[in-house]
Amino acid sequence: MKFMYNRRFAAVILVVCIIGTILIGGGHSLERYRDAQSRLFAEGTTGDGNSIQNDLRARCEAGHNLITVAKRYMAANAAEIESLSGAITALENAATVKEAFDANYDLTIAADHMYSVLNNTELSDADKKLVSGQFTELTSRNRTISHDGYNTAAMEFNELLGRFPTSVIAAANGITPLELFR
Amino acid sequence: MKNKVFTRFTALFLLAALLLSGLALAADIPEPSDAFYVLDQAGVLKQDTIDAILQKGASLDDQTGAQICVVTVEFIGSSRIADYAYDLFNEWGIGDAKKNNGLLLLLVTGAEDYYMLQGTGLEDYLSSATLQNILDEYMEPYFAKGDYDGGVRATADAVFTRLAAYYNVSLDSSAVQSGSTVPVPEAVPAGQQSIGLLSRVGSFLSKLVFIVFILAIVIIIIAVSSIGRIGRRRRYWGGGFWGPRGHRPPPPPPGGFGPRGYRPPPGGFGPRGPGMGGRPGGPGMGGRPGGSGMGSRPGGGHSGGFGGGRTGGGMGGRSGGGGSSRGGGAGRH
Repeated sequence: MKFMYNRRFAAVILVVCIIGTILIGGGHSLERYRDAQSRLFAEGTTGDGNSIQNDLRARCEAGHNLITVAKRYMAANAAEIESLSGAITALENAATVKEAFDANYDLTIAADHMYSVLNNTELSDADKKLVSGQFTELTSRNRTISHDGYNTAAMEFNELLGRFPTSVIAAANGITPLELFR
Repeated sequence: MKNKVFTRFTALFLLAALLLSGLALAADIPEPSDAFYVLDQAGVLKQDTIDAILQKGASLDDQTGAQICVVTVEFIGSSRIADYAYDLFNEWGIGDAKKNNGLLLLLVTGAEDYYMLQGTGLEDYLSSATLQNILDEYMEPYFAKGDYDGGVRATADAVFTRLAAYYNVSLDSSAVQSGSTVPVPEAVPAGQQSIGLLSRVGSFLSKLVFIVFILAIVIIIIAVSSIGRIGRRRRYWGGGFWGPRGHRPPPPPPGGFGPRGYRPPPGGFGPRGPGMGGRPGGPGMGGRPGGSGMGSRPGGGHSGGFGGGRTGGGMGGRSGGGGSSRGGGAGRH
């Protein structure tokens, strides 16, 4: 047991303990920080419930309203309706930020096409108002999403993750960068 | 010393760059007028329209904190009207800071375009769909004929009516009052508060991790170097590793050291200091004077933003209540 009285050995143990503490403690803090940043996608950056997730939900509602009007003037299985309906379903079922972004992009294209078709259709005055309003709702929500602070927060976290020594701590604890909504 | 100078210079440079960038952003957005609710830069509004909007705007503001601003400009450069409206809304701080119940009606006559943008607190009641319907019904019929004044008058009336109903107030008889008691809180550009906070948290964590890492290295160095000191004779005369730290010298042998040795002065030492064995009383160990410590910086954290609402264009003038918008709104199809 002579090694127990060896200072070099003690120094090695000390180094191991310090590094271990940094990796474990730092990893724990980094994980909590990641959780806080990732929650901004659903909860918003200002704590008032306005978030990208809420805006996407509103876009889905507006899309459904457009389909309701469209069904009065075209067949339920018309290509425009199926395309828009599929995009809405994909967005509602998106499990990750990246999936949500891709589905939202598809929804934008499908909604634009639907709006263009309905604009060239003889709609009643009430339905014209509805279509105009719901399409505006769709586009305005994309604008509020573009001003949302989630991407900025996620980029700041990812930048932190790339810097030494945080990168070492992240690698040791399996902490991955946040997905951006873009 | 050099490090301090460099750090301060860098901080000053960054501050100057931030201020200049803020000025550059603000240059494209016009300043609000003294009356705040109407800015007719394009010169398309009649005086009675302006007076009516001012009167109703002041009344609504006094009673509810909600603010409706009508702005006409000729051109907005290469900006998109939605972005320009968003920047102007948040720069002016339209609406109450807590309720975020502002509304902006923007006309860009040179581009034949218009836009209406609501504050965050009005998104449910005056959704973008509702704003679009208002614009389609009240603005577009006049705008298409080039009657900007008519369009603004009709749209403003429609919006005032809706907000008065929402807040259950009457806007008819209240006169515009100068020197209003509506409080004007300091405005912060939308979203910048929390982002600033989050960036501070992230920056603080990274610094903390780095500092812990440096401390660990220092401790390791101390620990390893203490191993090498086993068996070495400690030297206190003339310095040694730690420098002169005032360790007590061993007493001289009875006969002294001889010609080169230590010899007390003829009269003895005189009064001694506080337990230091021959030294005059002083500040303890006689070590290094107190320094500024590791990582200390002059104060001045991130204030959460600049620009935002101003305290009025003059004595008794109106100004933004600090409201913000997320940038939804509606415009011309």
